[in-house]
Amino acid sequence: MSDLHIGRRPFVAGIGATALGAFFNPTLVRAQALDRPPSVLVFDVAESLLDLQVLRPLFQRLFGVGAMVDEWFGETILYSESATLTNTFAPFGQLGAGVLRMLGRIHNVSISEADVAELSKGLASLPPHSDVPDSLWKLKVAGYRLVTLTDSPATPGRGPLQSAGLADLFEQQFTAETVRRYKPARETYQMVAQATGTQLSELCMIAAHPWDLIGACTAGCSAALIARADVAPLIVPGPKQPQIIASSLTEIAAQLVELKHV
Amino acid sequence: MSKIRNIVFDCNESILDLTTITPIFQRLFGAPDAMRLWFQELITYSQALTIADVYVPFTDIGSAVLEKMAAPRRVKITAATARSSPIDSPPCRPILMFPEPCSG
Repeated sequence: MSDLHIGRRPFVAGIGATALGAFFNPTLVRAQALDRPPSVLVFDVAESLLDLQVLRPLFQRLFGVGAMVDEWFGETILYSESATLTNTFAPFGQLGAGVLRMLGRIHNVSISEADVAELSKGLASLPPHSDVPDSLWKLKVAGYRLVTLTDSPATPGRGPLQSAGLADLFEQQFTAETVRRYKPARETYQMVAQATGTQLSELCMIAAHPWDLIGACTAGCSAALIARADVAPLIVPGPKQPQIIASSLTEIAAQLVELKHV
Repeated sequence: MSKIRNIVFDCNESILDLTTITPIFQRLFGAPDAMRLWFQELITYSQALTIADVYVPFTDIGSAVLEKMAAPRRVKITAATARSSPIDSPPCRPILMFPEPCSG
């Protein structure tokens, strides 16, 4: 464990660090450390900044299992990837509604239009994780340019970040729907680089989803994994690992702010 | 429809019954539902890697996803288990080792 380093610091993510150390092969985990601050920090939103678990009561009511929200979100991501791989496009909201109805059929639960509307309304008002507001402020104050990149549709002026009072911290909010290919397709990260007048290598993608960061790293961005509870990196030979892996956005922000002072 | 000359079958879950490996997930995670989550993640990551144009053997993704699930839940899957041959490590190569034909 002592020689296990991820990014600029020894890997000390609290949750699961000991368990991770039990099987991690450090040669696979070690990534090139960030040697300069990225120009633009690109944030994923659902689950990364905003807490999806507040939707548990809806899934508890529909399926009798609150944790079904994770299966719903996982399947929605899976089918968005399938759409990208087959060069077909369906709006993300329709994918999510379709997956909800599919789960309904699997579990013999009738899904009404009102249920779909309730899910949609819930998604539009997700609260931020507790480590998010302070971290974003610190990064903003340190001089970083902040943007978001989501698979979800653009909701200028009325999205969850607006409701959470965080929207003004971001200079732009991007949706994969613009390029009609979902993350982790290269085109999504390229769109952000183009629109912000930067190179892909100057972007740092920050998310709680390793699958998103696989795409960002392969496209040439740097990456930070928010390894909150139930999140761990996927260790396979081939794709580069994120430069920063930490158990909270607080710790990631601290490392990025420190880079500005080097 | 044009004349069908060959029929192409998917195997896992389509011909082979994945639920036969549920007990492994029950033993490791204390929850039979973990099998479904594991298979979902396996497909999600195989697609993500394909989109990113990185090839990783399917069984390697399966092992890595199992380890990814185990770590935050403090479930121990030893390096020896994860990297030994499929015959010696049923938990990490379950889809190749255990499924039986679907009865349906």
